[in-house]
Amino acid sequence: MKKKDMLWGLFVALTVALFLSPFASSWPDGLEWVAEGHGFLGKGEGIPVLASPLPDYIFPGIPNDMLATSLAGILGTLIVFGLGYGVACLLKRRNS
Amino acid sequence: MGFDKTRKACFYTNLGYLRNENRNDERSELWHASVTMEYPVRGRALRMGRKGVHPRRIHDNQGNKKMHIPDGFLTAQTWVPAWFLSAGGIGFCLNRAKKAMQDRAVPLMGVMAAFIFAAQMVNFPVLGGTSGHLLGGVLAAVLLGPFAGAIVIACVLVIQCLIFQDGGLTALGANILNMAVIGTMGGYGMYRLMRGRSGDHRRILFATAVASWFSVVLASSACALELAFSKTSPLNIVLPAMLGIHALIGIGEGVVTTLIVGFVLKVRPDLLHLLSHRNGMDGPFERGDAALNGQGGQS
Repeated sequence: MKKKDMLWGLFVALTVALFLSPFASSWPDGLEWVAEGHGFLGKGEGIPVLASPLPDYIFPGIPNDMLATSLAGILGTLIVFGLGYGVACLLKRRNS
Repeated sequence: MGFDKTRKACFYTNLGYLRNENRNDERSELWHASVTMEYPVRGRALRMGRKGVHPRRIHDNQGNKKMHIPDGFLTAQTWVPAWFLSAGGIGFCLNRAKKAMQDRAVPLMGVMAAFIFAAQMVNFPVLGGTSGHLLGGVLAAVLLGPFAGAIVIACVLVIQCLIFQDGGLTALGANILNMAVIGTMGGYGMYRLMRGRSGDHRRILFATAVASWFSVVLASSACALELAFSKTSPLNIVLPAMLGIHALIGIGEGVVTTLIVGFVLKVRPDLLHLLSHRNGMDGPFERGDAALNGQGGQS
């Protein structure tokens, strides 16, 4: 995979994060739906063990929900790209 | 509004917006549009019909973008062993992926992780007010092989947990175990089983579709077992419920994964793991002739 391909792939991922994530369905997902239907959703609503900087994929300080989600998506995509790339680099270095 | 006898029927339209914001993590909003119709049945009796839509439902104070197991669903007797099992599983994957690692695979792993993270944010509606989202395990495994695929999914889950509070820190082990280790590797096993050594594109796509569906169902049943083991919900209730809804969500997973793999097969077939057994070219993770790998990247 060449650099150009990598940039294309990253571009596609960022496009999904920027333009599609704000239009995600906000209906509960499979696990949440089952938890709600069987009365154990409340068990997960205590204080989380670790407070995260951007809970619920909302970039702080932005009044518009959709924009806040887009920005959180962009940031997350870049961080995950960095982590994936970094882990792969480490694996490569250990191998050679 | 009174009903006028001379009219045959009355229509009311209504558009409403409601927003509730307490703290940054407590917000809910609702758009509501409805049409009401009123018409005489007999004499003074009126009948009302109403049809409305709510694109966003009013939510609990917890926000609505949680996808993975949160803190509190699993007891320590479940999440501690799950941490150990997932650590062992990912350690094994790191070891295996390391041995087959090649230069070409480094950027691909980064891109796959980024794409799967972005795609997981896009929930698609499923029947009856539920949504599903891509898991991406089979997508990663088809392109990168099962070991690097599982590592990629684990990377996504770690960031979702640490930065976005999606999935609890205690439950992170279980989430990695279910989706990265069991879902991805199990899904890939099904893919290999269905595909055999065939290089036929239709067969690859069919295997991808079935394996994607299977990986979601497999991961969700692992989650159901953990919930039952934690005595959060009895197995005979939570297992059928999880299987039922995820059998539907898995269809979405199958469609999305197959479309993406089909696209990659068209534009960059050399990226597909193990695709090129027949013509002698290697995927990004195959051990083999470096010269051949160089050629594989050019097509």
